[in-house]
Amino acid sequence: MKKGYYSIESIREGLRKPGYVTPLLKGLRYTFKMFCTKPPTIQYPTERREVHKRWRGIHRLLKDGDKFKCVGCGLCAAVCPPKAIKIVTAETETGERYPEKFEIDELRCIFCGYCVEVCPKDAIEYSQVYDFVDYDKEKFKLQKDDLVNPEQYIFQGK
Amino acid sequence: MDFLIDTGITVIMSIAAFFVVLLIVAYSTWLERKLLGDFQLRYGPMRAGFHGLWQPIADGLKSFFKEDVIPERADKVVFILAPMISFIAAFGVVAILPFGDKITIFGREVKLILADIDISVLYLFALAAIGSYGCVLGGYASYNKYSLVGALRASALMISYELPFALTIIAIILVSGTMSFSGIVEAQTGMWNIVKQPVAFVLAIICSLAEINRTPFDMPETESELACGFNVEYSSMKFSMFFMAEYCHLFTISAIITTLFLGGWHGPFLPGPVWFFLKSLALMYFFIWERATYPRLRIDQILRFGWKFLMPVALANLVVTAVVLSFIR
Repeated sequence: MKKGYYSIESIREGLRKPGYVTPLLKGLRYTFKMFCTKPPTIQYPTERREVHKRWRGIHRLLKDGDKFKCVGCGLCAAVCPPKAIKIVTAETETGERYPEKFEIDELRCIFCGYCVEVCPKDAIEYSQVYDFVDYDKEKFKLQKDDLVNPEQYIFQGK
Repeated sequence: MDFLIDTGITVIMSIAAFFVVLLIVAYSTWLERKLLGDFQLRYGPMRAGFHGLWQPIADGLKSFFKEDVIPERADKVVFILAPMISFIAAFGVVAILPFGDKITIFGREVKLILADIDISVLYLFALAAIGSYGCVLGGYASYNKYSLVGALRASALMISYELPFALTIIAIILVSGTMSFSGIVEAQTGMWNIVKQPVAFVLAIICSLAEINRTPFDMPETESELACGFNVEYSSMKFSMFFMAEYCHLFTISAIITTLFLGGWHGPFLPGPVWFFLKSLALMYFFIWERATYPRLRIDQILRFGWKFLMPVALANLVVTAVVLSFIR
């Protein structure tokens, strides 16, 4: 039997269909649900995301007592693909070799990890610092004394 | 002497009300940004002070020191006049808001309403009409296509939503038997008008959204189409006057709907003004909530909705109210 325009069935069907008001209320309910959800925002300079412990941040030169572990063999400078490491070796009177100059250009560095891998003394490693910023390109050429404590370059805001 | 004290009380109350409303306006921008942030799973302003509490003040100072540009081919007098019209019309409504019941100061009874006039509703509509002149003149005077289109849309919106709004409120006047706001609030003792007039409440909310140019109906602005519409060319203090007028409208329209439908200052336990502000705040929350929810309609959809749906429903509501009332009385 053909349904009439005003038959009970057609009216019921019309009521089941989404009308004009229900979707509006559904939208309000959805946004209210979002209102009650805590935002996933991390307030960056004051709060920061945990990075992995193998994160490749700015390099750190390790020390053994007051002396650098580095013996200035120059392997890292040799293996470095973008030639970001400059190293000048010197010798003490007792014949111990040490790096007189050790410079990493953090802007040239591609963070490949070869220097860390190749170092026979395990004298260089990666820190977890990922937000070193400055206005001057020259400031990114870090010397051996800067590299002892890379945490000083963590961005503090301002 | 009596006259002097009365005048003094009125002057002090006016100044106090102006600054309180100014503060509310400033912090309603903060409230809107914070709540929109919450609705969109972010925080909103967080840096200036605790949870961005200084943000409105910082914004105000910033806009004060901005360069004030007047376009070369703008109609200068109208260009300067338009934001003032908007601002004054928006803040003029504050005069008729009944903040609370009578209180006693210096041994005399003072109503917490700046101007308890018998024709509050007419005054409201007059100011609303003048306020939309601010948009229209500002858009016209800027000599800019976008702002002109915004102004045209503002006037179209104004004409088509003022009528159903007026018809809706006439139904309230019929129920309350008075046009003064304090009378309407007193008539709601015991039972709020939202119970007597639920349809009118919904209609009034929809119409007032159009009246204050908020999101589903923000035709004069339409950021994405008209690049901010009627106020494209405005900068510095003139822009912030439009901005303050907009947020003042948000507060006043919430206060007016509170007065007309939600029983104004009536409420248990707490004092009247607190109830009044709480109810207005709840409505402001709703207006921000729906802004976060609904997309903007097209201008033809808005006008069709206004004329073909709101208008007949408001008329029917009015007729039914009138018939029922004539049988009851």
